[in-house]
Amino acid sequence: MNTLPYADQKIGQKEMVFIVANIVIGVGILTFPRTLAEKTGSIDGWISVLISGLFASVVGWLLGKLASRFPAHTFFEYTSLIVTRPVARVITFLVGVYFMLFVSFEVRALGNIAKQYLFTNTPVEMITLAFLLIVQYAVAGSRMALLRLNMLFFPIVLLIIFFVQLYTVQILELDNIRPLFTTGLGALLLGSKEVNLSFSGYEVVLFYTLLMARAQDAPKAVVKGLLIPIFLYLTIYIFVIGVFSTDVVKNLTYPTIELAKEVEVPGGFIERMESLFFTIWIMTIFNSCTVFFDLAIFNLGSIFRKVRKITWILVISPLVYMISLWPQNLVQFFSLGDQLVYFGIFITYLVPLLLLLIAKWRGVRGDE
Amino acid sequence: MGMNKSWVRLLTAVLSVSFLSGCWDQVQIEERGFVIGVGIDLPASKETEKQTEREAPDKPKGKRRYLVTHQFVVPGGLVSASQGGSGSQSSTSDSFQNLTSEGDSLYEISRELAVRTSRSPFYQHLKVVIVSEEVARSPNTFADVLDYFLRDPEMRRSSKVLIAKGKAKPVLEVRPKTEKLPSLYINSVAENTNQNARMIPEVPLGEVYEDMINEFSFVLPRIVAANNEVKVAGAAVFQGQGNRLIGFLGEEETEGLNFLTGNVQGGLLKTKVRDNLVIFNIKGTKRSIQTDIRDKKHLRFQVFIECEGVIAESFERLDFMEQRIIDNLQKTVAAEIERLARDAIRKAQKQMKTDVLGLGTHIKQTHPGLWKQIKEDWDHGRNLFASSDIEVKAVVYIRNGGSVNRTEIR
Repeated sequence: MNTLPYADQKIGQKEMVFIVANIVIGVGILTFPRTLAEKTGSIDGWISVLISGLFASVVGWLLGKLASRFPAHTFFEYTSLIVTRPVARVITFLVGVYFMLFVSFEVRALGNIAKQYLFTNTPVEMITLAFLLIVQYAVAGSRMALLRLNMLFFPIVLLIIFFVQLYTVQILELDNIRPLFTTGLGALLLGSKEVNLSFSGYEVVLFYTLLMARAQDAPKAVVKGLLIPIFLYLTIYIFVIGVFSTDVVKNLTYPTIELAKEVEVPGGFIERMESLFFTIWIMTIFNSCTVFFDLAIFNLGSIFRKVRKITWILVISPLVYMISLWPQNLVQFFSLGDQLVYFGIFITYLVPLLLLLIAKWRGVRGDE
Repeated sequence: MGMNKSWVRLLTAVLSVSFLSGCWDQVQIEERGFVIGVGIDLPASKETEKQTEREAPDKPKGKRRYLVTHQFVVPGGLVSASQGGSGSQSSTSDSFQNLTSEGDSLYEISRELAVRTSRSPFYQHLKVVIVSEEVARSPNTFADVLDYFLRDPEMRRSSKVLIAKGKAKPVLEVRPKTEKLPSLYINSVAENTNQNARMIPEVPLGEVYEDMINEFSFVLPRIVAANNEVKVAGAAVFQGQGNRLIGFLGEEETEGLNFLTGNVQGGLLKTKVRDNLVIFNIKGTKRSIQTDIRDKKHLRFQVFIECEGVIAESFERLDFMEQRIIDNLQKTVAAEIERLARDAIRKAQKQMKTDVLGLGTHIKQTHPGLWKQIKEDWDHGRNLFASSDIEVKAVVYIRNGGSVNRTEIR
C-alpha cells in the first residue's frame, strides 16, 4: 500500500470520471438549449438529451473497452498492433490534428464569449492570445498535474452550477413547461443529434487509459463521467425552457448564460451571478483546452518520437492561434464547430469502433 | 550558459509584465453614467428631423423617429443630500439628470449622449423602461424600440417595462419627496402588487420579450404621472399579433383581470352589508380553469377563483364569531369578485376581442392538439376567443374577523 496516493504517476477511476465530465462540458453547454429547442420545439427536448446521453454512454463504454484491451500501449501502439504501422500512423496523425483544431475552437469560443460579455473593448486577438499562453504554460508542465487539475476544479464548477440552478427554481414558470409529450419521435431524434455534438470529448478515454492504475475500470469511468453532463444538460434544458419558454430560447444566442444572468440571489450580496458562472465556465474551458492540447502533442509525439515536447508546443501554438482567428463571425465559428465535431465523430468514434471490431475478430490483445 | 539562461528569464519576466498586466476595458467608475431609467416618446415636432435631413440628405433613415429620455444618476447629489442632513442644501434636484435626445435609432441616441455628458451611458443598472402610449400604439413599433435593450449584452433582462398614459418623459421628471431618484421610486411603486390588486404584477424586460415572441396577447402595467407622483394602476393591453397597444383596462377591470389570471397577492374588496361597508383584505387567490372543447366554434370556459382573506374594516356591526354571518359575508365577497371578473371579461372579450385572460395559454397547455388547429383563429382571424363562453365562479374564505369582533354595541 502506497502511503502517498499520487506518487505512483497513475490516475485512478475517480480522476478519469472527473476528466471525462470536465472535458465534455465545454462550449456546447452554453448553446445546446437553443439548437435543441429549434429542433424539438418544446420541453420534450429532455428526452433527446437522454437519448443522446445513452448513445454517448454506449460509444464511450466501447471506446473504454478498446483502450483497456491495451493497458500498457499508447493509441498509436495499439492501433499499429491492430492495423499495421502505416495505417496507424495516418489515423494517429489525424487524431492529433483533430485535437489541435479543437484547441483552436475552444480558445476562440472563450475569446468570443469573453469579448461579448466581459471585455467589450479588448480585441478578440488579445483575449485568445492571453488565454493560449496560459494553456501553453499548463501543457508544458507535467501531464499528471494537468489531469489532477480537473480534480481540483470540477467540484467548484459543480457547486456554482448547483447554486445557479438552486436560485433559478424561484423564477421557474411551470406554465412554460407544459404541454409535455407533444413532440414526435423524428423531431426528438433530430434533437438528440444536436445534443450529441455537445457530448463530444469523452474520446479522451482512448488515450488516458494507459495512465490508469486499473485499466479495466476505464469503460465504467467513462459512463460515470458522462452521467454528470447528462444530468446537467437535462436540468439546464428544463430550467432554461421553464424560465424563458421555448420560443424565447430559440432566439437566445447563449441560453445558459442568459439563465445565469437571470438569477438574482436574494439579499443583494451577489446580484450578478453570471460573473461567478463565467469564472467556472472559463475553468472548464481551460481544462478542456489543456487536455486537448496535451492530446494533440501526445498523439503527434507518438508518431514522431524524436521531437521534444516543448518543440511541439512551440510549433503547434502559432497554428492553433491562427486557426482560432480564422472564423470571421459567429456563424462561421459555429459552422467550424459543427464540422469539427463531425470530423471527430469519424476519427475518434467510428474509426476506433472499427478498430475494436478488428481487434476482437483478430483476437489482438495487449493485456496478457 | 548560466548567463544566457538568466537573460532569457529576465526577458520573459519583463515581457510578461508589460504585455499580460493591466486591463484593456478599464473604465473608471467616475466616468460611468449610470442610466437607471429610459423613457421613449415620439417627437412632438419635425424640427430635428428637418435639420438632419438638411445636414445629411443621403443617410439611411428609419420609418419612425423617437424622443428618448435617459435618466442618469448624479452620485454627488446623492451623497450631499444624505450627508447634508437637516436643512442644508437638502434639495433633491441634484441627484439625477435627464437627457433627452432625438433620432431614428435608439443605439444612435444612446451614443449621441456621449457628446453631451462627461459620463457615457452604462446600462447595467437600468431599472425601468417607460414606453409612451403613442409609441406602443403605432404599428410595428413596440418591438422596434425594445430591440436594442434586448440585443445589447450589457442590458439586464430584469429592467421593468411600463406603459405611460400620455408621454413618457414627464413620468421620469416627477420629484417624489420620499426618494431621490424618480426611476427607483417608480421601480418600488411597481413592486407593490401585494398591497393592491389594481396593478398588474411587474413585467421585466425578459418577460416582455417572451410575450412578444409568443403568439399570445399580453398586458403591461400602466403608469400615470401627476403632481410629482406616479400612479401605477390599470393595464395596457397588447394584441399578440403585431405586439401593438390596443387599449387600456381601467383600475376596476385590472382588478377583475388579476382575479381571472390568479395574480392577486393582496389588496382589498369593498362589499356592502345592509347599507354599510365591510372591507375584505385579500391574502391570496388561486385560479383554475375547466374547458369544454366539444364545439370548437363555441368553446366553454369555467374559471374558478378561490380567494382567502380577513376582515380589515367593518362599518356594520356584525358578529364575526358566528358561522352563518361569515357564510353570508363570504357569498357577498364572492359576488363582488365575480362582478369585477365579468367586467374585465366584457371589456377584453367583447370590446377588445383580445385574450389577456390566459385562456389561449391554458388550451395550449391542456389541449395542445386543439391549439394547433385553432391558434391562427384565436384572438385574431376568426376570433374564436370572442365567440367563446366564459363563466366565472368565485369561492371566498374569510379566515378571521381581525383583533376585535364589534367596535361598539349598537
